[in-house]
Amino acid sequence: MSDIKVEARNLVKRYGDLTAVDNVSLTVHAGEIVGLLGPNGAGKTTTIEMMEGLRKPDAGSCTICGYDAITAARQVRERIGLSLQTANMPDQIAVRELLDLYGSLYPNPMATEELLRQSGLAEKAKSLCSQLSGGQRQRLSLALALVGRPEVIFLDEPTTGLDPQARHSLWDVILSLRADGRAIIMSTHYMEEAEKLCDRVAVIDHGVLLAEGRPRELIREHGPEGAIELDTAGAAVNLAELARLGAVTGVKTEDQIAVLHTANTAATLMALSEYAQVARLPLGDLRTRSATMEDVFMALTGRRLRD
Amino acid sequence: MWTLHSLKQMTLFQFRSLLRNKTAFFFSLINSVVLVAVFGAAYGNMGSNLKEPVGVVDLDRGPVAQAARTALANAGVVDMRSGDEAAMKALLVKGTVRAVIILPAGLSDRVAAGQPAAVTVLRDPSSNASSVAIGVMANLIQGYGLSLAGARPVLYPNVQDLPGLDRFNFFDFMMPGQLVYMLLAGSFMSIAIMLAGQRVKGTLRHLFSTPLSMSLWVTTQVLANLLLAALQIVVLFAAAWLMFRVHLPASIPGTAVLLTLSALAALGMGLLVGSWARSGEVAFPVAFIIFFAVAMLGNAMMPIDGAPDFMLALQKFMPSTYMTHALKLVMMQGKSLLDVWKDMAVIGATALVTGSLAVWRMRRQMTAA
Repeated sequence: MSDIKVEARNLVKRYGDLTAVDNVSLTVHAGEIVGLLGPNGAGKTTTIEMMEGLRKPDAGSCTICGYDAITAARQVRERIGLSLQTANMPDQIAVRELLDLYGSLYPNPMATEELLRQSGLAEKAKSLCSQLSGGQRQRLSLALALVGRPEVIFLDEPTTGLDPQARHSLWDVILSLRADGRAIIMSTHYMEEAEKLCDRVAVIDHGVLLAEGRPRELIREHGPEGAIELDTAGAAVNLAELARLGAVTGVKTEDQIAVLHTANTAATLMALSEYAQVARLPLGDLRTRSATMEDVFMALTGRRLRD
Repeated sequence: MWTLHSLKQMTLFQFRSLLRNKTAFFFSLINSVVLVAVFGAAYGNMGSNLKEPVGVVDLDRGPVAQAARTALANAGVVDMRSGDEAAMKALLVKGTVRAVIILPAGLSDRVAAGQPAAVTVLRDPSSNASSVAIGVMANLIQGYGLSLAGARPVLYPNVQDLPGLDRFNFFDFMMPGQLVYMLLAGSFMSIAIMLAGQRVKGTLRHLFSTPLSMSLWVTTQVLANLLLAALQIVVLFAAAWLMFRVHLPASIPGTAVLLTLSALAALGMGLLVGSWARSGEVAFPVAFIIFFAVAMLGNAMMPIDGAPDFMLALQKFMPSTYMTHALKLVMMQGKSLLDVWKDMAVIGATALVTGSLAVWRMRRQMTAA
């Protein structure tokens, strides 16, 4: 397809005996957001850096807008934008100075004033980076990624550390970039974020691409039909007995909450009700929900994303 | 991408980063000025009072003692105080006077009788200044003794300054070393530590994810460093002129060329340390140790002419040695650059080798690996 902006083929990166990235392939189209999900050390950053051309793969290749990420690094760098992790910002430089600097490095940059206005940082233009709040730093980070009018944008955990309001505000910006035809690759720890923003999600663990697809497809394919959450309020729960209830496909506990994955929510609810009477298990706080990406991740890797 | 605009913005970024970092600012601009002031105050008597404070106890009260006191006062090198022995000893212990001369009772009678007489000179052995003063006092007393005997010395010293250097004072002689010290401090204690910090923090890696080229980065490092060096030189000269009325260099163009070359060599060394250090925390002690060794062994802090042989041998391997040597000749004596071409070759080679190694290292770290 002509609108393919990123095409990674069989990327491999080894560090001694450790294979950090093992045969990962991924394509991203214009106007699409693809999320990389995986715990710390899963190989997300290495994969992204190989796509950006910042790290040379031991095998495989990646093209950005048709240019090889390694051999045509210059053309690639003119077409990509990277969000700077907020901790990496030069503290003693003012917001406007930093945007001016980045703008001077691209052939057709956005005007600094426009970026300041778009990112809501106009009043902070003269402030040093060290004086910005977490949300302001994230917005500046995104503005830096947009300076060169990139066709492909890489966002590394763009909303980490933000309060819900700031997070939703940044989501709107990211969605507007997609509407603008940019191809966006983002890593995130937030499952809700992945479900809301990403057209497709790639789940990576131990350097291996475990699954890739639309969030709903992945949930349908890998997640349970539903989940029942039971607040045990500290009461002893026999997980083995819960696992034998009708239609239950998996059981786990999280913070005094027993989570039953089920292939048939109604059947499991009936079985649980009967079991609770016999086992004198309180059912005061019982909730049902659909499966989520968290459940998908659990099913694929056997652990939670933040473990 | 290389445009005049990107060159300007990148140079400003590097320069601002240096000036706004408090540690870098202190070592680049404040440290040397403080050192000049401290050294000047400690060793130069602030350029005004060069007399030794000496206590005199006159137990004789005769004509010879009176004449001796007059001779001491007229010698021009003694700031004389008189009093009883206990009071003068107390001043010596306090350090208010550096020596106490005791003219003994009966001195005039012994001299009149043609008898030799001992004049006691008390010193504080724990004070260097006191030991120096003793030498001066001993010479004065011996000279006065000879004149009393009606004898004239057969040999006597005729101390003269080197031709062309007689207009300079203590602080002028400090300037070449202090300029080198300042350039080294700016490079090792500012650029090296900041570069290591930016590298480890990821700031540089992000910058290199844009179309920024290594050649632009290096060029702007050089420009920012030269801007900083120019600022350092102006500040140091201004401070030294205000405090001690130092003279301008005998050859300003030659001095400018040497300082530029020295700044580049210092930059190369600083970049090398900054590009190899694993972190900002590691960079600081490493940079400080190297800076201290290079500055001290290269005569940039104080002349170490009297150091042991092994240190003098090490001195030959310090590029700073050649910087201070060449600057002294050009700044003080107005020598031509042709006269210091060997020094310049060493400084230039240092800039080239260290700069190339640093760029090689940076390229490996910042581009695909």
